[in-house]
Amino acid sequence: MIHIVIVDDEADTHLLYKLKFKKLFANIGDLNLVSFLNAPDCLRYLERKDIPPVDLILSDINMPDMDGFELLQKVHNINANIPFYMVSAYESPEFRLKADNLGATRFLSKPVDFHMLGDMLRKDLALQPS
Amino acid sequence: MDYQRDFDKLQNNFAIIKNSYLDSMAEHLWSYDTRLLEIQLDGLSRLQGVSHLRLVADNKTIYESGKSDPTEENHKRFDIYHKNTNEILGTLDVELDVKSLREKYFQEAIWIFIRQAAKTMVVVFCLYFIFNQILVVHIQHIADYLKNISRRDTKDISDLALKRKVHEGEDELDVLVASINLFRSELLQANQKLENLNQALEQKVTERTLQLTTKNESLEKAMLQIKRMQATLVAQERLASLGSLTASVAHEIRNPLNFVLNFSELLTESENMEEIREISRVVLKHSQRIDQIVRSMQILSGYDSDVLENTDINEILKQAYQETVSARALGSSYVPPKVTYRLGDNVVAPVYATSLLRALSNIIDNAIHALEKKVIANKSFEPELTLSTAVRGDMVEISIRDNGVGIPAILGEKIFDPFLTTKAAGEGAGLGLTVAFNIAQKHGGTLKYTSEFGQWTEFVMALPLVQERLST
Repeated sequence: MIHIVIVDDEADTHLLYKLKFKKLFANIGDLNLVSFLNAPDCLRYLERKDIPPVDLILSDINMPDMDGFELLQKVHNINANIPFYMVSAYESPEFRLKADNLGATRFLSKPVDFHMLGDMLRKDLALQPS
Repeated sequence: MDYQRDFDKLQNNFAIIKNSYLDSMAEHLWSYDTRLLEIQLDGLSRLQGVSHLRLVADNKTIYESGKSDPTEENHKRFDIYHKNTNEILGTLDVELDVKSLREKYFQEAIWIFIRQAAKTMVVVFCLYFIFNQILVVHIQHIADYLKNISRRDTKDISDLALKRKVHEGEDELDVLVASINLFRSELLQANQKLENLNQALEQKVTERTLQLTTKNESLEKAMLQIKRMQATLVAQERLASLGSLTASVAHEIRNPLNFVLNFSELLTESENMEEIREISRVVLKHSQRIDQIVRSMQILSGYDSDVLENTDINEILKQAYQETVSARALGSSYVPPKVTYRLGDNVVAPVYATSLLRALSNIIDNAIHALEKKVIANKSFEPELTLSTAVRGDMVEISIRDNGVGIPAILGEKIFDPFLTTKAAGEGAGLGLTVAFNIAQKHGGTLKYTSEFGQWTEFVMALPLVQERLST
């Protein structure tokens, strides 16, 4: 069972990932997809003890209250080993560099190329077709 | 005095006649010796000043000589008595010629006067000549000299000297000349000093001017540099703002595009009708977002085909409300239960109708959004939306007032900045008020707002009643 957390203030993001991942994970295994519209909600979820270990966090950068960079730092304070993908509509070298420096695993720009994302997941999560 | 003496002498004749002649005359008259009488009377008549003699005896004029002048006052009548009998033998009338005496003296007086006048004249002329020679000539000379001094450069004139004979001691003229010369030399010195000062001043001015010129030149150079730098900065700034604008627009478009692209890809593979319908709805929604952004950008860039036309502003305001409400209803968003119109009569102005409609729709949509937020927080809240128009002076004022959540004072004019939004992601790109502001400006009008945070907000757009572009 793969546990993925998505943080994006666009409400339709959850539906998109759900449908896309359904196909992608069809021959990999069960997927537990959890989405949040803001970073604080996500942090509260991650601090819970009753959740299975999180395999990947996909986060937007531009969000109200707390942005993706701050979330990345706070997540690493909890667990530095969780893979963290930045997903942003801001395709700028500064953002890429900042994400890199803060220890983001990858930087994806919107619109998201789900074929590429699939390849990355297979590599980073060492997923083997079952 | 001479006259008095002569007069007395004349008067004395009377006495002489009385004392010396009368007795002998009486004797001769008694003896009637006419010859002797005539001799005596001839002698008498030759006496000085006797002008008329007449001897009358027995009412007969025995002798008369000279002429009688009735105006003459100095005449006397002597009665001739007989020495022993005291009988009046005759009368002798004697008249003295005082008048001729007076005339003589008068003429003499005139002569004296003329002589004296002539003498005086001579003396005066002599005096004048002498005075002229010893004083006036010199004074004239001094005056000419002073005139020259005042006219010409004092340097070119030598000291004042009078053409006088060498004499001992100092008189007033010498003192005057010395004073004038002293004055002249002092004036010369003062002038020299003044000239020196002037020259120094001029030199200083020249120096300063030179310094200023140099400074000016360097300033101009610096200014040119600054201008060049400014131009560069402006260009950079423009590029930067263009860059950040592009980045913002790209960001705003990429978010909905992310959904449109990926969902539509899913559409081609899906066979579940329910899923297809849901995905289509999402794709449509995000496509509309992109459309909105592109339209806004087009309005902001000014590349639109709108034309100025005299239009009923009331109609546009009503239409804007209708379109906003139906658009919201389509997206199943909140719609206020009622709206209040307070429209002025005959509110017609030249406007870009499509743009104005767009601007008003944006403001109305914001107002409804503010009401929605308050309704969600407080179910018993009674939302009010008032749309009004009025002509004030040479402007048309369009007011949109709501009693929604209001605008925090800290935002101020920033609410008109592009990409500033308080709406949740996907609800707005932060271009609505920017567009409305731009449209007001495009009309030569203004867009202002007043608000009390948590209470109400009122936007007032003022548009000119007359457009120059239309009238020409």
